[in-house]
Amino acid sequence: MMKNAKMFFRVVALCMVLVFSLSFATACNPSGSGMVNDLKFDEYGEIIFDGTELTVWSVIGEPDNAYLDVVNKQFNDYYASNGLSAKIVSLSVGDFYTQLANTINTDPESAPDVVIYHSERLTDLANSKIILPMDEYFEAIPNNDFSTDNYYRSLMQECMYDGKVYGVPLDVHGGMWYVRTDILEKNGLEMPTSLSEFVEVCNQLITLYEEGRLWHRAMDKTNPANCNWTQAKDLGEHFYPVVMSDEGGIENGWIPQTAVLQNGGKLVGENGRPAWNTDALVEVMTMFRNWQSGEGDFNGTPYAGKFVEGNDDAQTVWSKLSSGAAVFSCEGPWFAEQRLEEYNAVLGSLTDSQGKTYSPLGLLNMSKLYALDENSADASKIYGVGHTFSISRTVTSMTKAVGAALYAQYMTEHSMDYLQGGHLPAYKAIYESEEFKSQPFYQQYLQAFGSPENYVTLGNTAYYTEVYEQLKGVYIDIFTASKLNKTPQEIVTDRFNTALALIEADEEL
Amino acid sequence: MKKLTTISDYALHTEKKREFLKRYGVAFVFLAPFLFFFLLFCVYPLFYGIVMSLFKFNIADYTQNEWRGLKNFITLLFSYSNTYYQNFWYSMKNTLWFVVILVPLAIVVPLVMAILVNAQPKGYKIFRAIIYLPSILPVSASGVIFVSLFGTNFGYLNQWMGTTIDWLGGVETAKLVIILLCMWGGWGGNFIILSAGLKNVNKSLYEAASVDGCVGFRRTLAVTLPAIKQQLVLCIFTTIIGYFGLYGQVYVLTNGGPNIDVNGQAYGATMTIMWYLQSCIQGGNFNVYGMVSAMGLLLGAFIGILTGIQLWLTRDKKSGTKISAQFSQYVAEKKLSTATQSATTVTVNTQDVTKEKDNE
Repeated sequence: MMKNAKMFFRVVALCMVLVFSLSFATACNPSGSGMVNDLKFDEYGEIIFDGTELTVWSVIGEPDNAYLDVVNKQFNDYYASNGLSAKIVSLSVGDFYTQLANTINTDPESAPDVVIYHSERLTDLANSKIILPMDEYFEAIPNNDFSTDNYYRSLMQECMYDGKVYGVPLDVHGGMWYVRTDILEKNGLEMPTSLSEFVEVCNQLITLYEEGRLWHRAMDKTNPANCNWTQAKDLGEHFYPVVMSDEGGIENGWIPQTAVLQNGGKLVGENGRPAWNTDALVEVMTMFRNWQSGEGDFNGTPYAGKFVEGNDDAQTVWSKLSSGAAVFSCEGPWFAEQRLEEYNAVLGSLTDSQGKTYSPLGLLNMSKLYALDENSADASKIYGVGHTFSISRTVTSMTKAVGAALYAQYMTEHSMDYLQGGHLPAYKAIYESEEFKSQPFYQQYLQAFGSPENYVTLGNTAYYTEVYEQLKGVYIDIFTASKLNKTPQEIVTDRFNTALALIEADEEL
Repeated sequence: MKKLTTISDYALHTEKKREFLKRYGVAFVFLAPFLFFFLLFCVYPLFYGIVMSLFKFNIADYTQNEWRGLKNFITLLFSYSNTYYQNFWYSMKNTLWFVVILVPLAIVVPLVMAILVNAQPKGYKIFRAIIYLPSILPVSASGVIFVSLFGTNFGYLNQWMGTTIDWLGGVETAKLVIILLCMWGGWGGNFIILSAGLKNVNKSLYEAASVDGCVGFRRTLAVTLPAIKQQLVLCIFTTIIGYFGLYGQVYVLTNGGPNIDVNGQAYGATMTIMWYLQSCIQGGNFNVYGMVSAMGLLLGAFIGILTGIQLWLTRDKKSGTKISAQFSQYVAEKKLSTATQSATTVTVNTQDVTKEKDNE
């Protein structure tokens, strides 16, 4: 018995040593290898791809991935004779980056050749050696005219790392205000184009509502009777001009960032650390506090009342807009096509007592909406997020790498069909072309997004989460009931210090 | 050089081998598939986690891994100013809060229900099914039901009561909703275990208790609970471990929120340790895996210590010989006193007979 026990413990100890050694070996095993130059050219000097198929992982989900597939198909058709094709796999954004890093490191056979992702993550991916610099591969393509100057500067800048091109930008987009233009027009008001106009319109809406003279109508597919014009005082709920809150929609991902940029600030400073703790941000956040309480003034003019109710959630972003209990609501641009169609279908042809029709829904980009000085050079800036194409480090064949570079270039230069999902092109020639401007989707909604030139991205930082999420947190805190005892200055300072502490902790790892 | 042996030694050795295989061979064959997967999916990840915790571990590029020894653990245990230290202990404190509130509730409520159902009132089978029903729903599904119930603007509860309470946005109310979901979705398991225990309680114990006049609540305390002690210990054991891993309910209902401020730092009021670990690796920080492994191991050690204490407290206590010796002494003394009493009586009786004889 004693002998058996001894033997058992010996076997267990041996197993433990083996497992430990295996774990150490796996944990310290370097992956990836050098590039093999296997490029071959035909008699015309063209690269022979010989059935090269690129696996593309994309973070772009519904509905935009359908539009991206259209462009991908065009690429496959165009390069079919050269033996080059690509297949896109859409992955959920939630675990995209973790899955990408894990697969590239532990299972290179299943890893993608090309990745399409948010360009604000590029520095992090390049820093972690997940993606490769692309200059060499563009240079290897005969008669290729790729140039970084062909893309909008801010968008291209974010795709550079260590002076090299690590990504090719596809698009840019920002948060949009969805506006009940019919309610504005019916009440003799106009779409605002700047902060002062926005405040003025809201003040007038509140005054009209309190005087019982505000016309409104709902967008109600199930009960057309609600779509008739009535006085807003008859609404079952209180009218507030704007939907804004700590969890209203996704506005925390666009508004504070835009506020920093429009007032001359930077989001990212030296060494990729946050730089958004500006006085102007505090001032804008104080203004939002006042919009919740209805107290205070804007440039000496007192607010007519509360602009926002608070307590909004993701559902109220659309429900308050459709019931006519609010006029301004912020959401992602990808809803533009769908919402405009929906509102037009229900309300577009309905007339008031004078037989007049109204355009029910409009889009307002964030240009000048948070600029304290509307005439400054920065006032038109809008915080934007873009997608980019990069080559994964698991690509070890020069032919494949060149094919991937060619793919990135083609997809960005021919992205017209993809853009109707609610994105502006990063490639200058597309935006400047007559063909683009004549597209129905451009005239219907993309036009309202403004010029891609105005869009400024986060910038190069390896601390994306710390920089971006803590700034979002500033906005969230401003609208959080339990944080009303903290001043906007304290909120900005605390969130900024938290970002620095997180970065410090990461560096100590 | 070949080793020489005698025939008897050889026979003995072969016999031993045969005996060993006969004894353990079949067991090993049956255990082998389990052992394989146990080693692959439990032991190997555990050891891998230990190794990861000793590194600055980068999942994107192993060449960037750096040996840190015990530094990750030291940071988590002693670096008060470090964000990982602060978040780890804050979320541990939150988790412990939930455990302290939830474990007694998750034991007492199913126990009461099991006792009531065990009394077999009319329609008890329907009650039994209804009580267990919420447990068959996955957390995501029951979470959606609770979100619909407790939503601020469109929640059924607010609509029924005509209120606009921000259930999931207030610190206390959010915790309350999480507790309700944990209870509602989680009582079924303990209820089944305890019901099974109650079914197997020896009826003669109740009869004996009745004869002694022990009825009602006293009988439950004195007879029922000791009789299902093993089931109760099992329930407490699994419930404590289960709620230390509280994640799904928090994720679905509040996602760690609402935000609160502690010493100028933003925290999620319902951030539990599992939620925090998950959020660390979801943030896209590829270097954090060593630290997260260290957190996981510390959590495991913490649960292990608590479980050890619990097992020690609920162990079957041996009474030794003290009480039996006392009892033996008591019996002996009683026997002696009875014997003395009998002797006295006999003497008295003899004297009486003598007196009677004298009178005659």
